[in-house]
Amino acid sequence: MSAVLEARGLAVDRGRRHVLRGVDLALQPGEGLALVGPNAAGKSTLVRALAGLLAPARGEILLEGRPLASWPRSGLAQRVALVAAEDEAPDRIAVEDRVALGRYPHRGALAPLTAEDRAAVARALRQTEIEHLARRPLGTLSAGERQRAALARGLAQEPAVLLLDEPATHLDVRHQLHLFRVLDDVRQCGVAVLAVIHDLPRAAAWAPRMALLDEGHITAEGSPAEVLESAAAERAFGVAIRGVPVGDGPERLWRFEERA
Amino acid sequence: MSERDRRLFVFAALAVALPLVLLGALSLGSVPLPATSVVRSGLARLGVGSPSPLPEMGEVILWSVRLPRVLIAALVGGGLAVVGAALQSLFRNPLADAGLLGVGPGAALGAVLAVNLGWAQQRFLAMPFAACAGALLALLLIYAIAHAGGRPTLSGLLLTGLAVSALAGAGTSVLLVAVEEFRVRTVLFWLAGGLEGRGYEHLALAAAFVIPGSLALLLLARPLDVLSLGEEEAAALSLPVHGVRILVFGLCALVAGPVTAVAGSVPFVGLVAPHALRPLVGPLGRHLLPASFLAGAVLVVVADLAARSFGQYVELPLGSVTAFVGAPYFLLALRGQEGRG
Amino acid sequence: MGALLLALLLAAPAMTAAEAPLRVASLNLTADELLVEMLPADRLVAVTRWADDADMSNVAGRVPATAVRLPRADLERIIALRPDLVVVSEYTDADFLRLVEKSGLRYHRMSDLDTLPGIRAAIVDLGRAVGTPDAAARLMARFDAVLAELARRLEGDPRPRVLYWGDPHTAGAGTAIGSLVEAAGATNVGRELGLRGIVPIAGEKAFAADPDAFLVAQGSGTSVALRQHPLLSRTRAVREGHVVEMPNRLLVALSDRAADAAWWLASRLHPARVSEAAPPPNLP
Repeated sequence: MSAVLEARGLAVDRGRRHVLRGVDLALQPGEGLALVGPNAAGKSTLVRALAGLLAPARGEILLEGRPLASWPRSGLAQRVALVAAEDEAPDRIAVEDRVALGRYPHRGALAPLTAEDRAAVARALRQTEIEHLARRPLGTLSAGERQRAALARGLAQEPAVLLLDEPATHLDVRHQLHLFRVLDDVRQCGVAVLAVIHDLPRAAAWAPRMALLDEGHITAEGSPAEVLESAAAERAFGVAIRGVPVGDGPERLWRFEERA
Repeated sequence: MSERDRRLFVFAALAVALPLVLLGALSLGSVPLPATSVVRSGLARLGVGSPSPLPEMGEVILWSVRLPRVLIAALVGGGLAVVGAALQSLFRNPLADAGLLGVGPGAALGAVLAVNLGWAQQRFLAMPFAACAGALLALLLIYAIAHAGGRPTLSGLLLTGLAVSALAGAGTSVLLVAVEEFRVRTVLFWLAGGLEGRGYEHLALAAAFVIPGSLALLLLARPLDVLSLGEEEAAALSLPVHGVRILVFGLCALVAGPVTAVAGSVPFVGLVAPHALRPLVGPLGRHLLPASFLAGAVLVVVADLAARSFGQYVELPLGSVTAFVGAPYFLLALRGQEGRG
Repeated sequence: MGALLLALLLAAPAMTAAEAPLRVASLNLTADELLVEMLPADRLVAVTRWADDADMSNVAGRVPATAVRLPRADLERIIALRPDLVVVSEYTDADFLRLVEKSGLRYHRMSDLDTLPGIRAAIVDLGRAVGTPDAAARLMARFDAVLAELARRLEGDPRPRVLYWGDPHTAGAGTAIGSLVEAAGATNVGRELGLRGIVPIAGEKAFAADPDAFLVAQGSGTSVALRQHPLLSRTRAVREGHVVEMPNRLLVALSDRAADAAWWLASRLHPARVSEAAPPPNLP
């Protein structure tokens, strides 16, 4: 199966810093990948580059086999949705209208929203469980609710690839679990999901696959256990990580020990 | 009342208020004309109904003096309000308005030059055209400077606008200080804002820019909404952020420049109208921009009526009337904002 | 009224009754002064609010009661008066005049009032425009006679150097005040300094110019300001009390009264030659 979104030898600079120095990463349709790494490793940079917001210094990114640069702007946004950690949306806008802006790549500036668009918006609100907040101004929502609204906007885009930067930070436990369930539902429809997750146990609990970004490269890739227990992880985080199986399922309890 | 009903009500109220206010402004003034006569005179002009009941001098006052003036007032108010709403979206700040563009001081500099060179006394429409040129030159200068170091950020645009405004203001002051007294007074009257002596030619000048410019901004309503989500999210949604910003900025200057050229400085309209309407019709461009246009038009028509009715030895400057109303509103709004924050 | 009209028709065959404007509205003080002298009362429909002000106007108290005092140049009110001619100053702006025209009114613009010959020509011009060339000729004759008599009396007397001071303006070349000073047998220091128009002058420059006398407007507090000015209070002129305070109505007179103004100023600058403050009434 060919990758829907792929980075090959991707290098990205921010100013004079060489943040990404040669990243190879491939996302298959319907897969779920957690991107982990130490602070300032460049995870956010990688996600933005994959969304087409940052130009590579070297290497390339392929969407559905074609270089990102060859895609028209709206075509790209119809297929790739980015949900960032910070939400700068204005306070007065109603949740539903904010989510509906996710249809912009499909409709452009002037075309009125179709029934299809409205259905996509309704579905997104339902999936993120914020239907009851549809007409509330964004400013009256809690941080967690705002985050779900941002996610709903991404879902409303009906993308092929969903890129999430720290989607769970403000969510309480119940909504975190719910978030991951939503991501899995979305994956069932063939959407590839890449999520940057800071909390390692949380990432490991959800992700079928994990990639470790450290010093501008992907230094480990595979199942969460494979990645977290690798020497690369120890090098990256400065802690030795051991997963202790709990019960007969795949769940693990993670122990972190500072390196001597 | 539901959100949608409230919005419909506001639009209906504005749609009714504007023609009423226009009729009132056409009827009232230093020579009052009965409103029914005004209407019948209008119908007579359209070839409908009986001939106008107004005496000849009433006809002259109504058609040659008042009508162009009142229509200009409506365009000035509508244009400034739409520009204010667009800039508030663009800068993601509910207290932004045309004053940020450097358009006012640029226009003032153009006007002072015209007066200095004696054109304002000799040539018809010299001052408005010079003011317009000054406004657009200021915009070009802001554009050029802001882009000198690559793509400008929002704050870069803002600061460049402020700097160019200060520069234009300094130039204006130099010219005013070194010049003959009566010329100073001419410029000061213009700067204070007013529609005295404005005729159909001024109306044409204003309409030529305000109508297409406002329409274009209306068409950009959805991109403005996307832009208000933040630069990154907008870019991720396929909006050409830089291009849209420059386009909106440019359209705003194209509307505000000629408005300032024709009417002088009319502050606070671009601030008050959108700010007051946003809680009532919502922040979405496709509602806020047209509602702002209507509200702004109503505001300035009323302000102009007040300006020409309450001044004894001179007309009250239009800019002062809008400031008298707008500044207290602005202060209250600011307090409200801080209270919430 | 009918007799007057007939007289006008006979006296000015080049003008038809429709052409000679009957009703005249004045929008500036100079025209107020001239029209009060030239027009019969029922033809002057409007004057400025300064016409009655004794401090500003040389015809205060003589303006017909039937003339409307316009507090400001309100075009609507002007139209409502149905004038046949509107007299405006050279400072009126072109956009306003265009609107006046569009409203079907004719206007006459007074211009070039910054020299005495200019004033003379403007009087003749105005007389022609309102259809009273004889009245204008009478005013002109008196104007010429006063100035001629003044010149005769001042013949040979040395010319003091006078600086008009308006805190902080002075009058350079090309100004009515400058012409006034020169007609009164003095040298205009403003012109000497190479200035043009009513422009500000730095205190130091005025001090260095060391005029023989200062000319200021009476009652404007300017003479007090002079005496309190750190530099100018130390000029020879101020110390010796050579500060001429001129009544406003004469200082800014641009009508035929400019000749009276020159006479008045000359009486202060050349008291030996010109003993009366006003010209003798029997001229010409």
